[in-house]
Amino acid sequence: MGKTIAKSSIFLNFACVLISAFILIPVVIIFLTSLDPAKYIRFPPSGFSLLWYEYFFSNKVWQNGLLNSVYVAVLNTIISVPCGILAAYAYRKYTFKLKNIFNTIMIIPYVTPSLLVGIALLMAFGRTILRGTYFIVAIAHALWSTSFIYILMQAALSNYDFTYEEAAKDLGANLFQMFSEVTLPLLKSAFIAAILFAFISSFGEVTMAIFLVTSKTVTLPVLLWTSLKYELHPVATVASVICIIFAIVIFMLITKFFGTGMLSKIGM
Amino acid sequence: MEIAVETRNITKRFEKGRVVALDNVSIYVKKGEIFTLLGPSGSGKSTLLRIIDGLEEPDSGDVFIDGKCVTHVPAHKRDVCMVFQRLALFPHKNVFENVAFGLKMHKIDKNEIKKRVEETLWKVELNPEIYALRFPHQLSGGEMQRVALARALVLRPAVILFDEPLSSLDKRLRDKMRVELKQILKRFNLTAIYVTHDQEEAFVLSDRMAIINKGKILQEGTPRELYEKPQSSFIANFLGDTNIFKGVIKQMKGNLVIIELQDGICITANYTETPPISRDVLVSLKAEKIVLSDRPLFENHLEATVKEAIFVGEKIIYVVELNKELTLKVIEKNFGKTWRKGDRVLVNWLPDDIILIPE
Ligand SMILES: Nc1ncnc2c1ncn2[C@@H]1O[C@H](COP(=O)(O)OP(=O)(O)O)[C@@H](O)[C@H]1O
Ligand SMILES: [Mg+2]
Repeated sequence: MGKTIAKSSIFLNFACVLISAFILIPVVIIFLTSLDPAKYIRFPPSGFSLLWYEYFFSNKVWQNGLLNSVYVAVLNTIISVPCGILAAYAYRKYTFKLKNIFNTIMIIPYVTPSLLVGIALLMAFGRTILRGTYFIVAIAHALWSTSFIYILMQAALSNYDFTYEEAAKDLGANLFQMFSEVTLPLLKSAFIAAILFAFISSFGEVTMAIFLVTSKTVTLPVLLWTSLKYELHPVATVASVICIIFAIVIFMLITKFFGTGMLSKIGM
Repeated sequence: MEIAVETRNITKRFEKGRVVALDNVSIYVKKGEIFTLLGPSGSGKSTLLRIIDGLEEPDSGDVFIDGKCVTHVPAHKRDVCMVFQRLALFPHKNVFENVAFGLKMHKIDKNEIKKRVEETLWKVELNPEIYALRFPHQLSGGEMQRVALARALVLRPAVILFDEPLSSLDKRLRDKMRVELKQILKRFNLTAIYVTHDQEEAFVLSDRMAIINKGKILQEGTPRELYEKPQSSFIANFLGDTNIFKGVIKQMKGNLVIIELQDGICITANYTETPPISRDVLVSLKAEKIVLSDRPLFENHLEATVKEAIFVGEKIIYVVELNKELTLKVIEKNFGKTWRKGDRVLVNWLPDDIILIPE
C-alpha cells in the first residue's frame, strides 16, 4: 500500500534536475533547431522564426505524411484495441484448452524484431492488391500493438475482480447490460490507455512502415527518415517536433488515466 | 409443504474431472425456510450455490426453482439472488444505485424503483436519507453487509443464497449480524440457503441444515437432530467438542448396552432406535455432557486425573486421563467447584448422552 514519501533532500533535487536536463537535451536541441530560419540543419541556431513551420503546413508532401500517419494510427487502433483487450479478457476469465500456448502466441509479435515483421509482410503481400495500402501498414502495426495491449490489459485485469460481473448477472443483467454497467466503467481507464498506446505506437513507427508504404501512403516518420537520410532538409526538425509533441501529449493522457503505477507493473 | 428450491443428483467436476466438487447432491428447501449447508472449506458449498444461481452448470443433475427445471436457464433469468462472500458491491455505484441495480436491469419504472429501494433500505435498517448517496468504500463492514442484503432483497426472489457473507467481520459484529439477518429473513418470510463453515452460525440461523464434506451430503435435519444423532464420526466430530471412542459391545439388556472401551473400562448406553448390528462400535460423548465430581453422581462414572485445566472465561476446558491411552475432553461452566491439574476426580454422565454411531 502507500509508502510514505520522504522529504526530498537537496542532493536528490539536484540529481533530478541533472537527469531531467540530460534526458531533455535531444528534445531541446531539435526544438531550437526547428526555429532556425537557416536553409540547412545546424546547431546552435542562428535565429528564431516559424519559417519552417509555415513550410511544413503548406507543403503537400508533409501534410500528406501527417494525415497518412493519422489514418494508419486510427486504423491500427480500431484493429488492435478490440483484439488485444478481448484476448486478455478471455485469458483471465476463462479456462480453455491450450491456454498457455495461446498466451505465448499472443506475446510473440511483441518480442519479434519489427524489421522482420516488415520484411515478412512485404514478402507476403508485396504482389497483392494490398501492397502499399494503409490497411497493410495498419496490419503490421496491429500485430505489435495487439500483442502489447494484450500485455497491458493482463496487468490491468490482474486487479480486476470478475465477481462484479457475476453479481451483475445474478441481479438480472444480460451480457450487454453487464458490459455497459459494470465492465466498461470499472475498466474505463485501462481501455482509454490501451487506445492511446495503440495510437501513439503506430503514429511514430518507422521500421515496419518503411517497407510497406508507397509515395501515396508514406507516413510522417518514414518521410522524416528519408528526408534526413537524403537531403537533411530543415523541415525535418519541424516534423520531429510534431512527432514528439504528439507522443508527449498522449503519454500525459495515459498517465492521467492509467496512473504511473500500472506502467511500472508492465515494465515501462 | 411447498418446495422453493430443489437440486437432484447434482454432480460437478473440475480440472478435467480430477476434482470432484459435488457428488450426486440432492437437497430441497421449503418455502419460508432458512436452510444452511455446513461443511469445511473446499467441501463444495460455493459450487452448489453457484450452480443454483446459474453461474456454473452442473455436469449432471437438475435444479428446480418453484417447481420449474432451470438447469439450463442462464443466471440473469433465474428468480434467485446471491449475497457473495466478498459482497461484490459495485464500487463505482452508490448505495442507492447498488440496490436499484437489479430493478433497473428488469426495466422497472423510475418512481417504482425509488419507492422500492427506499423501502428495502428501511427493511435492513439503513436510513436512505443518510446512506443513499454513499459509496461502498464509505461504509463500515456491517453497513456493507446490509447493502448487499438489500440489493438481493429488493428483487423479492424465490430464494436468496448466502455464501459465507459474514466471514470477513470480527466476531462481535458477526454474532450481532447473524441474529439480525435471521430476524429480517423471518419477518419477511423469505426463503434462504445459507452456506458456512461455522457451526455456531449454522445453528443460529437454520430451520434445517445439511452437512457436506468432499462434495457429498452426509446428513440433513434440524440442528438438534444433527447434534444429538450424528450418523457418522465425521459429523459427531465436526459438531461441538466431541470425545469419540472405539468400543466392543459386551452385553445388551432391554434398551441398555454395555460397551467395553478397554480392558475393564465399561460404559452403559441407551439406544432408542435400531439396535447396533456389529459388535464393534464407535461411541461419542460430547464434552459438555460430562460432569466432574469427587463423589459419584450418576450410575456411569469412572475415576480419572485432571491433566489440563484451561480457563477461557465463561467456561473451563479440562483434559482428564482415565488411563495412559484414554483421555477425555470435558467442558464445565465456570461455576461452583473448579479443578486443578493433578486432582483426582470422578467423571460422570448419563447413559442417554452416549451416542452410538452407526458406521
Ligand atoms: N473454478 C474452479 N476450478 C477448479 N476447481 C474448482 C473451481 N471451483 C471450485 N473448485 C474446487 O472444487 C472444490 C470445492 O470448492 P468450493 O465449492 O469453492 O468449496 P467451499 O465453498 O466449500 O469452500 C475445491 O476442491 C475447489 O478447489
Ligand atoms: Mg466457498
